[in-house]
Amino acid sequence: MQENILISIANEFSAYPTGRDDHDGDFNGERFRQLLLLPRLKEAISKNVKLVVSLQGMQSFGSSFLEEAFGGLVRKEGISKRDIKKTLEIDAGWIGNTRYRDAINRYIDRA
Amino acid sequence: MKKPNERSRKWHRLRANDQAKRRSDRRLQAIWQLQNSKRLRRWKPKEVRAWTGEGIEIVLCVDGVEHPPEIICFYENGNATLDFLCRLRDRLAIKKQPSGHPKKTWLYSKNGKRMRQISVFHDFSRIRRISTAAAVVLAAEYDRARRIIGVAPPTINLDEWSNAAFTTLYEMGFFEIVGLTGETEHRYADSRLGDIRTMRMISGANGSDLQRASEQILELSRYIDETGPMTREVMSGLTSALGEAMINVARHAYPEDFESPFDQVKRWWIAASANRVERKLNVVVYDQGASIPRTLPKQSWTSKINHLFGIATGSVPNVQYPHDADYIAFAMAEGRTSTYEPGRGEGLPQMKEFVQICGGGSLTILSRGGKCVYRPDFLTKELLVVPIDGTLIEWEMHLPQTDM
Repeated sequence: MQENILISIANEFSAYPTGRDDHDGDFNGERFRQLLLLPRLKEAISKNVKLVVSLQGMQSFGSSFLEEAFGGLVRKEGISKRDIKKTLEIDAGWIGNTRYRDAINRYIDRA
Repeated sequence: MKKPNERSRKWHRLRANDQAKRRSDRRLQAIWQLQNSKRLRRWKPKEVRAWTGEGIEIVLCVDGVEHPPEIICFYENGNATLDFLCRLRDRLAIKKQPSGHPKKTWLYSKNGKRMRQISVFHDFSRIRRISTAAAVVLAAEYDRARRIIGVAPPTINLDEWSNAAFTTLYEMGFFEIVGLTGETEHRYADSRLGDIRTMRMISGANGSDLQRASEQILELSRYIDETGPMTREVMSGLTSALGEAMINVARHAYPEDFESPFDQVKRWWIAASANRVERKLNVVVYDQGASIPRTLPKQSWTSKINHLFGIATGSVPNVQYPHDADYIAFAMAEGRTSTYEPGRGEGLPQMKEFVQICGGGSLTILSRGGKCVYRPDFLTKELLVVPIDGTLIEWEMHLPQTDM
């Protein structure tokens, strides 16, 4: 059985991600989605493994970033909610981050 | 006598109206001249000390002095504070020029005289207290002037400034904006206030400076206690809310169709203060943009707001913007977007959510003619007699005692 694919937002992207696109700043949701999230999600779907996105170490969880990154998978990349729900797993890291894990799931549902 | 016909009566009526208007204009002109001459008689041009980046210069103040209120605070002395800041803006902000670079000099020579002149100056000697929020608005006005002209307005009679005004503005970095650094350090060492520290103000155009702002606030909070009074959850909640405030400015505060009478630098300014005795942390974000109410009315659902809040009933207060507090309250609700795009309208609710993460405190928003104060599950609205230029957001946090 193949191992799950991992993304640590804080280590691989930024601990202070903000905003939707380049107009909002360098570490924005669109860039994260296109550079890391989407390629690895597609890889995970094709390999039929989980994509685990870790929120550990993140210092900011702006709704614009989270919505653009995760909601954008449905709205802009055309990935089905079913595939995302089946493949994507959010690792909150510690209990204080659970509200942001819930927010991500909400953004995907609403997209 | 021949009876006037209809045409003649009309001609006489128009002539009478015209003469009345001319009399009125002459009367207004006479009143203005009288007031002006009184003002000029009262104010005799006097020498003042102008502190510029190049040193201290004796200049002649020709038109008078403006006295700010003794307490400059939006909550304790709101109307006077807003009125003062409005007058300050009118003096410092650069009116849009039809073409070319704005021409404005703070000190000027007249009639070939050697001593340079200044029109009016603000006397900061009587200020007893200046709140962080008001200080940010004041410093932002100087910063805008500096960024547009290239030179900040001079500070006048700095040696007479009250300690309260000097210390708050020094800690905020105001004197770097006006080009005075080395000259003020010595005085600060003697005048620093005991229980309150203010963060050095930072400014930016989007979310790129979030890390810097967050780290500076964290550092400031250690003034309350060295162990760091903010929990990890509170700190990340604040950083997230701050990031949303920054990108709200980048996205919405300065729309292309915003016709401000003043030149804009399209930025935000952030500062914070820590009160060690009250264990209180205040964080302020300010922009000089179009304001929340100004960006909402282009939406079609504003007609519903107007309906809801009673324009039709005629029960509107006698202020310039009688519905702005309602507009702000409306924008604070989840999903209220100015773009109609899906997934938008989460920013202001996240700023509100942070108050709940803190377990107390408040979020205050002043925007154009309205003010809303949000406490957990409780919102109060107020109208401003004098509007604020742009939008000011302030969080107040009461930090609990940490276990040693």
